[in-house]
Amino acid sequence: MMELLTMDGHGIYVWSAYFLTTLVLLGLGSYPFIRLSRLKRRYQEDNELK
Amino acid sequence: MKFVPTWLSRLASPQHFFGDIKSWIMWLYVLGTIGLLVGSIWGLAFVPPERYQGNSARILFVHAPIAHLVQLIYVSIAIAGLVHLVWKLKMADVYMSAAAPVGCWLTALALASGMIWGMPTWGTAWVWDARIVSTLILFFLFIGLIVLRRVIPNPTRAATALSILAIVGAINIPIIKFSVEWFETLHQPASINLFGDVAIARVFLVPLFINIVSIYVLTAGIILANMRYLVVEQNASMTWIQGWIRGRNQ
Repeated sequence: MMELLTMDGHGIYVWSAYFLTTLVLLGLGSYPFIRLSRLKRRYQEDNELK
Repeated sequence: MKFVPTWLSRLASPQHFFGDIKSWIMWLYVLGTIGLLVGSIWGLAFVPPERYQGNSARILFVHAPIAHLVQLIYVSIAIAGLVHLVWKLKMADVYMSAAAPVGCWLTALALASGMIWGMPTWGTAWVWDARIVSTLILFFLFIGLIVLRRVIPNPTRAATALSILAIVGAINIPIIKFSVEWFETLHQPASINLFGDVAIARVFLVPLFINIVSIYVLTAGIILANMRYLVVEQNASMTWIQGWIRGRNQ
């Protein structure tokens, strides 16, 4: 397990590259759904005001 | 003679796109995520260290698929730009607006993961190498597409400007592709050549191939989800969107 983490001194590079990739993909993947639900809520509020 | 299948021509209509695409997006997300998990775990835990680069070569499984994908995203935007200029297809404009931010973030990620990989292998995070500089130019081209959309208030003019920039900027793609052959570069040449030898061991090739396919699938889902948002934003007054807002469908 420790070997997988340290990777003979390359662990910091490998894990940071994978961490960054996960972070960007999570952000890109969730953003359109967050924006869409916000937009829907805004339209619903606008409709209630009319 | 029908060149375009019915299901594809249906997607050119914002209303049909909005209704039809939701389940596609879900499947693309699920398959892409599972594939990336399998390919990445395989690459991290079950592939031996590379002979010269050791364990740092495992960065290949995230860096190479994304670096390749961003070029394809740009080419697809340029094709959408051409389609918009010729046929004035609204969904082509929607595609350009939806794909440009995704391409921008992924290009930044390709540059960042490349810099991280450069530290243990080249001894530096950055060199003014033809492949890296042309990828940096690609990043600025994506930023240019995003900025153009925001600064031009007239949507029709913005779409035309976007199309022109996308088509002109496509000249950068062959430069990225062949930079490692045309110039003396520190960046290694392509290991996979569709029409030539594969300079990579099978043990690396399988997880790499899984991640390439999976990142393509997931990114297609992300771009379609962005397009669906833009369709809602641009068609708020339509009855089919009003029905969705009131919770009657989708």
